[in-house]
Amino acid sequence: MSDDLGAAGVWLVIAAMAAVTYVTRIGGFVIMGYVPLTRRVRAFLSKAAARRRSRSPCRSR
Amino acid sequence: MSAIDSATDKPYWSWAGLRLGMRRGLTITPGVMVFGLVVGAAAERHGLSAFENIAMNLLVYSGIAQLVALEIWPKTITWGAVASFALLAGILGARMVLMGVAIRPWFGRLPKWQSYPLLFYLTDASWLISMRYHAEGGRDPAVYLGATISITGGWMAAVIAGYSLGGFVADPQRYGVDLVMPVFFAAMLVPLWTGRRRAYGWIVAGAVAVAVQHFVDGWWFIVAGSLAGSLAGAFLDAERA
Repeated sequence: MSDDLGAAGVWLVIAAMAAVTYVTRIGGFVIMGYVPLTRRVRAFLSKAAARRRSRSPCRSR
Repeated sequence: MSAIDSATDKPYWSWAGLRLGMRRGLTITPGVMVFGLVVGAAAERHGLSAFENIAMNLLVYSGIAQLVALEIWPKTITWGAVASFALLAGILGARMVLMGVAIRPWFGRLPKWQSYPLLFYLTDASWLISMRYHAEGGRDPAVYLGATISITGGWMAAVIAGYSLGGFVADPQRYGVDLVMPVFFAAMLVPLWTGRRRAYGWIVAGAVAVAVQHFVDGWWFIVAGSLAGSLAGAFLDAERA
């Protein structure tokens, strides 16, 4: 039996990669909908975003 | 209302935010376009049609995953190959799970019909631009949309041009093109410097990523470094609080 998917193979690869990539894009977003935002969770999110807080020099713009 | 001076945490949409996002997105677009040229050329080299190239970039829209996939593109595509490419997309996209986690407190307040389509085009660059804006006090998701429009427009133009140019951009290392994206992300970190303590998370992330890259094959170093840095930073902040 030939396993070659022919011309449809490229489209199946594109569809599979697109679906999985979108799942990774929304996965954390969806999961966090079920997680209470405690102080430690907020600290984790803050570091994950590597973001500035109150000392941002751009805040007054 | 300006795009930045929102007094509350409630998200809102504005044209000013869209323009701000587009302007900020344009600062990274030249670097993204260089990368896009390489991806487009790789698609041409491995026999994808022009239409398949455009579809892949519109639907997958993950430069690094596409580039790696094209590097290992087989002559014949089987179900096993499809599964392998899906796994590859999952591993290389795993870092975006963390990005989605971080953006939840902001986009989670939008209606689902807005937040889920917006996340379809989530990229490192648009996320970084948006999270910086959010850290400045902004809450307008139009900034994210504007940055995404600039970056995606530049990306699509570049992959089409790269596909047309083909072999002219086949070897990115020869011209130092492969350094463009790392240099951009390093430059974006500079304004985030707020003291040595905050850098501990970065140092842990870098050290773990380098160690994992040395000992583990594949792209797990991206996931391991991100997680380690975030956890280290979280515990340092919790100790301080």
